[in-house]
Amino acid sequence: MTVSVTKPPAHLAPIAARQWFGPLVYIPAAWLVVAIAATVFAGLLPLPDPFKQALLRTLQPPSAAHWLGTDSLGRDVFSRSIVGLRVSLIVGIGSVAFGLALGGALGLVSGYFRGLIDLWISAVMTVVLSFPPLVLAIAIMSYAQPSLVLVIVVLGILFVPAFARIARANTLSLVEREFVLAARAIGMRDGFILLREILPNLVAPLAAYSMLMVAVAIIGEAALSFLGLSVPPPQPTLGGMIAAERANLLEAPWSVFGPAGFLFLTILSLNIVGDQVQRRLDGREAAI
Amino acid sequence: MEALPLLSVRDLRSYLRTPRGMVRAVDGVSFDLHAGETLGVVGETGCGKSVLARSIMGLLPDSVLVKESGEIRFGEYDLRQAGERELRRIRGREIAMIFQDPMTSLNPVMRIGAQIEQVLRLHLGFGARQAQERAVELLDSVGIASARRRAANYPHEMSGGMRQRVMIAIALACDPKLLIADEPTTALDVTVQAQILNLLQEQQEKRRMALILITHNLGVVAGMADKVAVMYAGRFVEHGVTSDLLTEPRMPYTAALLRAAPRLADPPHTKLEAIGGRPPILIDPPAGCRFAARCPRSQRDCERDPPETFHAQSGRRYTCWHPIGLSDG
Repeated sequence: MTVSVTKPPAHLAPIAARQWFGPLVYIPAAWLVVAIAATVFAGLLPLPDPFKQALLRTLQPPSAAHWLGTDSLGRDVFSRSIVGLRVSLIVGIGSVAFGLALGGALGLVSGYFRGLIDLWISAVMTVVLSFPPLVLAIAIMSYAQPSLVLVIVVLGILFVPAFARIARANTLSLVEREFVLAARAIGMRDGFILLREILPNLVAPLAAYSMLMVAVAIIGEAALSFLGLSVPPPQPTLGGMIAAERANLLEAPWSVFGPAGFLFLTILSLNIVGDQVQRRLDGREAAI
Repeated sequence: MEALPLLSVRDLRSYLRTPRGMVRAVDGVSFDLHAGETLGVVGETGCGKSVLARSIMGLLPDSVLVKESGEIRFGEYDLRQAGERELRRIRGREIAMIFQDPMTSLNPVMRIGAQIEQVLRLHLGFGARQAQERAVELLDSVGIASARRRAANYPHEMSGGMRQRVMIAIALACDPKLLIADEPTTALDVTVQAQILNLLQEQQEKRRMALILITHNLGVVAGMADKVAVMYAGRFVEHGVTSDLLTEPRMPYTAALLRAAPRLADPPHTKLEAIGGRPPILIDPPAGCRFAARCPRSQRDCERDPPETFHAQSGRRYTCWHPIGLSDG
């Protein structure tokens, strides 16, 4: 009689032996790496000048010289898309960082101290949440002088309530855990407990959510720039490029689909990778 | 009595707020504890043992604590009157505490070593390097093998027994005068329980530390405690020297607890004698003796009049109208 040994099913394999992510995740992850590298080093790449107009060579189809053709002012769509993507990424990461820092701090404080301070913070968060987010952003942006910092702050404020709620909910359950009581039993101050005991436990849930929110922020920026309410020209933005060239959609689809494609691939990648990271971090949470 | 007691609790009452009303979790507890002594506090779940421990430490949050009265003297400190600042200096340094569940009482995202170093730096003003060295020594002294390597572990990399050892190392870090162990072995395997108790006893003797050992295991108390307090419905119903109290219980509740504990000498499959009924809900405790409803010796006066606390020889106290082994019973 032979005994056949089969590999245990995946969910029984030891954590270390488990595959980190499915292979499909490496493609979007690679796109993100390439996109970030390209936007950071855009100035060093042998690309045509994104600002240089060539009024005799407008709406050229893709060629070796212009990979994604030229727009209605004869500018290179590919290099403009890269520079535009830089704005998208800066706004996406910057506004999420803003929301994460402010929302995380507010949620931590309100979840830990409860009482009146919790009531006030939660009330303000609810008020912010009750505005349709894009309408609020459009309203603020159309009154103020649009600039990169303002876009980051406005979109960042819209993220504050979500991060505050995640931080608060997690803090509420962490405070009940015995290690917080143990920290008080060794004579720790509240501030210390917040920063050293609770905050490190919030990193995983907040980080998992952040990545998905970067994608949302990029869409938000694209919507604002499509309406001309983001960083003003001559700075190219993906939304702005789509808005400017949409009249030429039939004649020169590359001038619209170029920036739209960059936008699409980046957001899709962020969502896939963010999803996996979230699943991964949640699993770790459950294991603790 | 000889020397001044290290800890002296007088008529401590801690009433807590719950959604269903105010619970008299600790309702008039008094006792003295001398340096180096062990007091075992036994009782059923929900009789106020843990609240008592937290009251002594001043760890009950104001949001929960409706009313606290009585006196807690610890050395030269008056813990009931002490401000939060002063309490913070005492906690961890003079009085340390170990909790029931070592799985949850360590921070899951912090290395073991760092959690020990934290106390040393907080109370003894150790530098980073010095704290690191001392943490390793402490881990070694509580019986953790290859302590230096272990200090870099996270809690989830350790077993329950090891985590409880780490908790003990944290508690002992500043050489406290009093250690409160709140059911330190309940969550552990039986073999590990013995190891942890031995460790506690050994460290206690070495440091001449007083110990309050909260448990519902009478065997543990018999082996370790100098004095035992039996707690029921927020009160000490019997209190005395361990050997006396366990061999000659006066209060019927103590006797019932003793009968409910398994004995090695019993033949196999002997049924344990359970105590019928449940402890009273402490929102509206019965007027008379709180054990009367479950007591085999209760008479009409028990349900009407709360029993006084009688003082017998060698510090024995019991709260009962009809104690066992005395003529009027």
